[in-house]
Amino acid sequence: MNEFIKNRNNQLFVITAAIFIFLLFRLASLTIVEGAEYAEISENVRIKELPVTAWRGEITDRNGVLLAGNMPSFTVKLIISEMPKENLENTAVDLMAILDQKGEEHIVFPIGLGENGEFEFSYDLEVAEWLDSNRLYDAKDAQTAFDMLRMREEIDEALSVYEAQNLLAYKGITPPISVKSMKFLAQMKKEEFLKSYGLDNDSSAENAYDAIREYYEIGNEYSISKSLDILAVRNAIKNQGYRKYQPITLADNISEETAILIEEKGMHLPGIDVQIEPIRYYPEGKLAAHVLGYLGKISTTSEIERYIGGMGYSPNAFIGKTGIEKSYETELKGEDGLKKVEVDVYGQLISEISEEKPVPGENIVLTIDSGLQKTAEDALEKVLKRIQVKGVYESPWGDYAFGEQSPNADSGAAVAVDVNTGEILAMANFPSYDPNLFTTGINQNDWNRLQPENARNPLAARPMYNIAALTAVQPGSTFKMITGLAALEQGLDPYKSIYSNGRIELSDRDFGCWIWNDYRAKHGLTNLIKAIEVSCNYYFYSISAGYDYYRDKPMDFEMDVETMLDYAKKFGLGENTGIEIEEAAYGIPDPEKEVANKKYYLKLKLKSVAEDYFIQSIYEDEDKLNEIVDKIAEWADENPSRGEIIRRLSQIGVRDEKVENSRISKVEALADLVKYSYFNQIAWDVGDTFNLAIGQGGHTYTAIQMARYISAIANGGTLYDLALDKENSGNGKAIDLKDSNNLSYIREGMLEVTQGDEGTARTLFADFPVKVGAKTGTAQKQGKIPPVDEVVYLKDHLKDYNSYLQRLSASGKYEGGQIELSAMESLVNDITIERNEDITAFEKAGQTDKIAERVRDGYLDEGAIWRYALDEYTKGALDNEEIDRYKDDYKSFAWFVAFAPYDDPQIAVTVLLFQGAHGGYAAPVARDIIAEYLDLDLPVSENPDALDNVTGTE
Amino acid sequence: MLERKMLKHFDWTLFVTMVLIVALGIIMIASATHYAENGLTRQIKIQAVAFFLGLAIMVLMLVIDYNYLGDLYKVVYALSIFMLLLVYIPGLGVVRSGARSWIDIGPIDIQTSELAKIGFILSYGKFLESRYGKIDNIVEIAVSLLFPLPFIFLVLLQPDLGTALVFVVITLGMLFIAGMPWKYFIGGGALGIAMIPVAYRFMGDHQKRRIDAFLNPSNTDLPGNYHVRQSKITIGSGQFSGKGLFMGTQTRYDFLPVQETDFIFAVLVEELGFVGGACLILLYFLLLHRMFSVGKNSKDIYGTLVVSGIISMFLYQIIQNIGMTMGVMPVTGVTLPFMSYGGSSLIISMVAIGLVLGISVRRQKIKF
Repeated sequence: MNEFIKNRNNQLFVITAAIFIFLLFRLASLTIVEGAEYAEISENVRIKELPVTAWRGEITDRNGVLLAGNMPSFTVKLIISEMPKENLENTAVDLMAILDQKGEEHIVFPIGLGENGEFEFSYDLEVAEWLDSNRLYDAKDAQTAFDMLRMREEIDEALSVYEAQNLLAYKGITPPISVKSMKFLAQMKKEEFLKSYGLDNDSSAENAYDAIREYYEIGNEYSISKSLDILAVRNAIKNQGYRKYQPITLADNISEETAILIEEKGMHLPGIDVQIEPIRYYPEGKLAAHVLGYLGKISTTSEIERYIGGMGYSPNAFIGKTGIEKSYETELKGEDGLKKVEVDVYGQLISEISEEKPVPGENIVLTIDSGLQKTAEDALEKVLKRIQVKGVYESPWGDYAFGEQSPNADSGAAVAVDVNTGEILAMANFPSYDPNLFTTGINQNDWNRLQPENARNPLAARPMYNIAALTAVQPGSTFKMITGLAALEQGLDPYKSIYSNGRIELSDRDFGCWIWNDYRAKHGLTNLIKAIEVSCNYYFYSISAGYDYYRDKPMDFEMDVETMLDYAKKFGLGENTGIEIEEAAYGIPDPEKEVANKKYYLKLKLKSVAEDYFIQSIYEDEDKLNEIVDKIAEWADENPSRGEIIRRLSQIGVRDEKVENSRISKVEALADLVKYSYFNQIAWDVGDTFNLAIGQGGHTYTAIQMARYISAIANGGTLYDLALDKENSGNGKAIDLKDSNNLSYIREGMLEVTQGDEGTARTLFADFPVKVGAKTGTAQKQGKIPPVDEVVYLKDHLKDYNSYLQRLSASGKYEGGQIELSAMESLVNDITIERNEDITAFEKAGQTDKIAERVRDGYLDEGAIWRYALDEYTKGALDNEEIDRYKDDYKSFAWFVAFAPYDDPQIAVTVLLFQGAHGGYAAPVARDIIAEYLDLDLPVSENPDALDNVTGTE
Repeated sequence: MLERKMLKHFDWTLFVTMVLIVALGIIMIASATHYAENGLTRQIKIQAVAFFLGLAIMVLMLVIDYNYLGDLYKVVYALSIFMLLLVYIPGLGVVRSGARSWIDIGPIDIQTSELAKIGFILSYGKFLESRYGKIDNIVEIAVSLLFPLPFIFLVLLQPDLGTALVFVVITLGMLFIAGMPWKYFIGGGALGIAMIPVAYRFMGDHQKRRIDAFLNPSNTDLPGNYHVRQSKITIGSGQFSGKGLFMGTQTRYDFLPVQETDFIFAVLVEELGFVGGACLILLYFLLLHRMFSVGKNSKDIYGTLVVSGIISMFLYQIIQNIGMTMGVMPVTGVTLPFMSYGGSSLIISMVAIGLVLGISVRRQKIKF
């Protein structure tokens, strides 16, 4: 043994043996101990999953008419593993030739030929386009462009680029620039592209083209345009990276004709496959677009959480964004299938292992009647267009000439409901949109076209907006049935007349009936039926207070505002109607809350003028000031006399001095402010009740809420949940009424609206073959229409403001000078700089919430700054009313509600026209809907078929 | 020159073991070049042709007395250095994966450092023969270390660190058999380890990154780590009995890189499992064991030294290559003898075995 180990050969052999034993152990540890783990890893890198999109459930109308289905969309795909390498070039050229010939869009190489035959990067074009559209013509690079924007927006130079970027974003400017590297995003993409081919960033398009052409060894037999086709395909394959098992899309959404052509040439286009993918299709286009909704890519954080995180949607999936598509997303979606495939290290598909078939989504049957829907949409559009030009609405049921022009009557809604089930038969909005635009992602141009022309005008036409369910406005006179019913329930005799004397004079305000306001006339003896027929405000004022103002004594029932509002609530006004899509509901007016709100505004006002009126020790001590302001606001409930207010104010620290240039003291001035501008308005008085009684004031209801309420009147007092899903319909419960027979008086009144001698809609229904109960309503919209550009408006009217100021000067109420444009402009400039500095300070302090708040309130808005400057310049002489004097007024909302047939109500219809001017103007829409639904025969004189038949048989 | 009685001493075990390993190698090359889809590939054919060429040269090596070569050691030495310089002749030398190690002679490329290894062993053996048992002082050691320096320097210049290390290991192995005392190995080893940080500072970026990679195997951005990671997955996923011949998914779908050369061992284990891998390791062990036996029983010191050089060469290549595929050795492009695809490499390995067999058949001098 000793001898053995002394031999160097043996020593080396022992070492060798030891090393080999170690190798065996290592091998055992990898294969046996860790083997299972490695086996799993090797499975996972090899097996990939491909989702197979499930067909989305179909949406049909109540009669089975398809409203939302699926259309096969033909997509040209390249399957790399099926394309022999030597065929790639010819296949690419041939395929692109077919696509070009058929005018189909397809992928392109990022280098192309310009108009003059020179090479250009598409990335460069993108940058140039953006610069042009932002009038940054001189900007040579991202840095200059960004600096120019900073200068233009007057952003402090001291701010870092990130801070500047944030400020720009607050102003709604998001340049396509990465401020980190100070490059255009397109420029970065270009560099990435060049880098992937090992080319320098500053390579010219031509050099890059030559180099890449050489890289792919594209022979000279191919022309430039053909080689660009080949390069487009080559580049797409390269970009696919390690996902080569996924087919590459070469062209999307091609026509069936092109698809067939490509299929026919399939033999000569190896590796090219036309795949059919379902895309959403709305065969009726715009019809019922707001009910159906539209699709879009998952984009918001909550959508990502809900769909991708929670439900395993693919990040590229389309989801319902609005309407039924959104509400029934999970039902419509179905279950995507899953194909398991085996891939190699390059990501190329080797084989298909298994396939789980997709499960199509559920179909939804709507309550909508597409024929009726079409009638409603057509009538709505036609009526609005006629009102805009003061035209004549021609109809077999009688032409109707609109007596007043309203050029801005450009949007509205109509709703038809089955009164016995709550099913929505039609829900029409104008303007509308074609949801087909969204099915593969909407392009920017189309999107812009769907935005309002004047975003500053809340009543501007918004095609994407479901007015019927989302716009809540005052119902005007269409509310009067609630007022009447509440009084009936309290004991009003519907046939007992009172004398309607035109107007009621309250201590501080007059309340005129419309007939008094317009014609200085009065309705005279009026009972409930007549009052509904002629829409007599005087009568409803009286019953809302339970007081006969003509005879100046109480009527024989108790009535108050709470009771009246209670009935509004019973009929579902201000509440969700139950429809399955988005709707708005803001409740019924709450007098207590309104008082509280007004007090709150008084407090705000007092604080804002504290420095002018209170002694220093008060306005500088916030707690003390709050205490005093609260105290003053509490006096509102008793609304003391002016003298009493002066007495109280003089005891709590109001400055004992005269108002500048005036003889009255500060105490008196403050007393006048709180008494006349606030206290008299704050306390709930009968005038406020009057307003609510005729549907003005704090009521805000949607067209569908109104339709639900009219349905309940028509069906004898059952309030149904409105439904768009056929399976959901018929849920209703009887409204708690003392005597449901009371509804019949209301219906009788509504019948007289169309039948009575003085009915507000009598001319429209004179020749109508079915008796209809109805009510018109006209609700004023306060305020002025904001011009598209506030600054332009203000500049245009400086002359008018100056002549106003001159008149003030003449009467000694204004001592300042005239407004000069240049002085105004420099003042605006100063204010802008100052405000930007404030914002900068917030940005530096990290108080982004304060920035957001100020920006939202128009702190940086040029128009708002101009108005502020005008106020400063004229020391308040030019008030808002004067500034806005030259803006257009809103025309009133036109409401029309109806049910039919009177004897056996089937359908309730409500129509709302923005700026429709008069309630009656909405009636022709309702008339067409009722006629269509009841399938009325056209009058003989209007029925060309009938005439033909007569002549034909002779 | 070759007498009939000599063949009695022909080491059949050694020869058959080698043939078995080559055969296994060709099967694995078939798998690595996707035999199932591609059929008989160029690589399979080349390897088979190289094997028969190798056999012919082996016979030649058997016939020529190694002592004849030993007597010409100066010529061999000069010729070997000349081989290493050939790669610098324009039009002849070829750069492959960053190293100028190849010459292009018409149908095939030859890695001249492979040939130089044999030349080096033959001449260094002669150099050490006269110093056998006397290399026990610093001067002698220094002189003995000067001899291989030109080889190591030229190979490092290509640069081919892997082959340079083969030369270093051959040198150490032969010095060890020549009787250089243990203390110098231990002292030298300690000095070497102590010098690592210093050496690291003088290394090129390429070498530094290799070492960083070995020390941080989970960082696949470092060179070679992706390869090693895939190799470990390939080996591990073979588990005990493998996925079956030609059925290794890591191999078939190219997840395993350079599979027919550097990572051929991983191909074997993926398809034949622990069983296959252990069999190959045992075959190598048997091969080395037989060579040790020949070395011990050589009729002269020169024979012993030459065999020890060849043992060192194979031993290092086997440990380095298999160790690398299992993640216990750093990545250097050393092939697995007889297994890896590569005609010149296979032929040179067979020449080496031919030399050993020649020594074995001429051993009858010492007969007790």
